[in-house]
Amino acid sequence: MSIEGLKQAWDALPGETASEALRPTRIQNALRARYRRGIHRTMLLELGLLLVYGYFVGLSLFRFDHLEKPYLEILALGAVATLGYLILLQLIRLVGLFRFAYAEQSYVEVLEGLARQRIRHERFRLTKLVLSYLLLIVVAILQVKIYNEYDLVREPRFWWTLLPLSLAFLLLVRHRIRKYHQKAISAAERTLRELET
Amino acid sequence: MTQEAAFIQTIQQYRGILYKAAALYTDRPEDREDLMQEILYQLWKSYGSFRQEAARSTWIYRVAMNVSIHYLKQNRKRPRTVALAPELLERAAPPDEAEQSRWDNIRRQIDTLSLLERGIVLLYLEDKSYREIGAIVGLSESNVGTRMARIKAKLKKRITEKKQA
Repeated sequence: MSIEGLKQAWDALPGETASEALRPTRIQNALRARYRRGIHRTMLLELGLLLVYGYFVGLSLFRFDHLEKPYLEILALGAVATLGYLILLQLIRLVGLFRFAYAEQSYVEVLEGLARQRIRHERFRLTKLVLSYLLLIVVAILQVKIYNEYDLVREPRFWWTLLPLSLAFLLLVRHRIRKYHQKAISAAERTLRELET
Repeated sequence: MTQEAAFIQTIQQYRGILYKAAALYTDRPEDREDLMQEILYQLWKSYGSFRQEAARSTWIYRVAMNVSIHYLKQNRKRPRTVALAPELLERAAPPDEAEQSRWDNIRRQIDTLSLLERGIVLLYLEDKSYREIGAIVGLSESNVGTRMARIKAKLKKRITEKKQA
């Protein structure tokens, strides 16, 4: 269909289908409820994970003196910093979801903003995944030391289990997740290039 | 006149356009309705800050198109639909078969275009001049002309390829 054919088909379409009863206050109420539920669902898993991590990292700090060894203390402080960084990334994402001016930006600006947001989000996602995995290991080491008085770092069996697990995790990230990640980034970069030309 | 009444009156004039814009960016009738509601909601939210110096239609097109691409990009992350209480929202009648097929036909052509091109085509189909398209989309008049020529060539190429196939 040429552009002229498209125009004819377009003009033939009816323009009135929306219900008369769609009053703004009704729409406002309905959408507010929908947004709240939507955000809860998408963020629930990540926020839940952060809370669980927060709990265990908090416990490690509360019983900091039980750690005894300097390297375990460094691990605990590292866990706090990592958790803080993960929370910051989550906050940035939340702000990105809410901060959006529909009326004040042009279409091109919105497209550009969304593409940049997508690239940022994909990079953050990979970082979050790797950091969460590392945090999981550190929390396990700290908790075992605090509650069982057992130092996993000096236990060869722990390393023999951890190494293949980490290798499998790395392979999964490299072959599966990274592939999707690159695809999403390329699409966003294509949009940015199109806007520039 | 209350602000709500004034808003409804404004929207009544442009409802058809809003519906068409929503339909151009979605495949399924329920998504179309969802998007339509979202556009109306965002228009209502920004109605208070809408400055009269900007043309009303420019404001409406801008919000409609911006919400549409945002909806399209974010929709995968959000649950597709959440059941709404019937008393909150009365559903519009779904389009009939003939209308649906006309929409499918148009969408098949539009789907080959990028989101930027789709936005430009929407405004072109709405009889907007290159200057107006530029003002809404955020490009210069000459840039719109160049892009429009590319879009026409793209559509033409598609027809040729189809014929050859």
